[in-house]
Amino acid sequence: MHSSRSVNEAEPVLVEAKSILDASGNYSSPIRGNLLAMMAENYSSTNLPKSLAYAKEAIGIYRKYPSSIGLMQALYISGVTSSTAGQNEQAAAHLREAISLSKHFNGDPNLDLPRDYAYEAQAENELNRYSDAEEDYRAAFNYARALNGDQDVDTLETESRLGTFLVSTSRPKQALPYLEKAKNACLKTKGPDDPFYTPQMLLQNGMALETIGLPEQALRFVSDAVENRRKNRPGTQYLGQMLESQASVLIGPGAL
Amino acid sequence: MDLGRYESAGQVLEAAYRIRVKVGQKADKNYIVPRLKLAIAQSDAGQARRLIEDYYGPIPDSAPISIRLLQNMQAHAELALLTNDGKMAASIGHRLNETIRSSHLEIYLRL
Repeated sequence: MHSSRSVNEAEPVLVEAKSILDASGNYSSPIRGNLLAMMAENYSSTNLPKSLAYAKEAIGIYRKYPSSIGLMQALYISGVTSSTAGQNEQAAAHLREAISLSKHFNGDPNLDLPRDYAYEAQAENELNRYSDAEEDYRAAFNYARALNGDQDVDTLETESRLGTFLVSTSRPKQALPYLEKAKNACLKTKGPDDPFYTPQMLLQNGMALETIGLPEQALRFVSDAVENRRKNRPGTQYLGQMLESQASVLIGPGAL
Repeated sequence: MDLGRYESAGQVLEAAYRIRVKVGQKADKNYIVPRLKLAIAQSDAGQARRLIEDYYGPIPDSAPISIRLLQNMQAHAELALLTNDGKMAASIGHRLNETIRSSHLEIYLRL
């Protein structure tokens, strides 16, 4: 499902699976919890209310049983979707619990931790818990680099997010080396047409450049990111965010 | 490369808004701030005022420091400047400065 280019490709299968469970009166099994978590993930970029509702239902089912990897995954999906929906208290709490379960079931360190810490940091940042957010962004980056090396996608992702956080908290000079390194490594390893990582690296680098007063360079990177996203993932929430960033750069330097 | 491309920026924001409606994502600061920036850049005080009132509301007399509070104050100060109310803009700017300086978050919130 992750590798599908069509966000709607999995929907008919998931809906059919749910109707089978409904027909057999299966409303509280871990299998249903797993299916609902998958549905929550499926709708996470196209229908936030639906995604949140499915994630909540999945967590409710899993909580009737001893802690499990299924609960961990449902909490993670809920955390990410809650963050996108602006429900950051819930996002931070669910991601914190997912991290704890991840360490319990998968060990410390493990490959999920960079991603989990990065999303927790994002929610904390939105809640103005900057010290916690910085600690978790750095944890995400350090786990990723230690586990995967300098050019792995998790390292690029977490490095770029740490850089963006530093820009947003008044430390652009500290941020730029992280952002430049992540973008250059991404272009080298993934190429300019990569549909997942390259547009994000370009966008974050571009917006950092706008923040420090280099709008022409910023617009070039942001426009490349938008073009890539339009081609590969039209109509998705992240494209909308990219367009909003592009508009801000097009308007030009301003106080806001 | 030309900046100040207000018409293009407006069209891009409309496209972003259509995506928000489609995926059920409410307007947040990522959408409102560029809309407001555009209104101010185009000297459209009416539109800027509507956006500020709808999204931020008035500046609260007392509230814990947050990015939203600072953006609220900054937006009101910009609107005051746009309407040639320099006294109000300076007053809000002074209060904004004091809010940041008196906060334990000052290190993170330099403007």
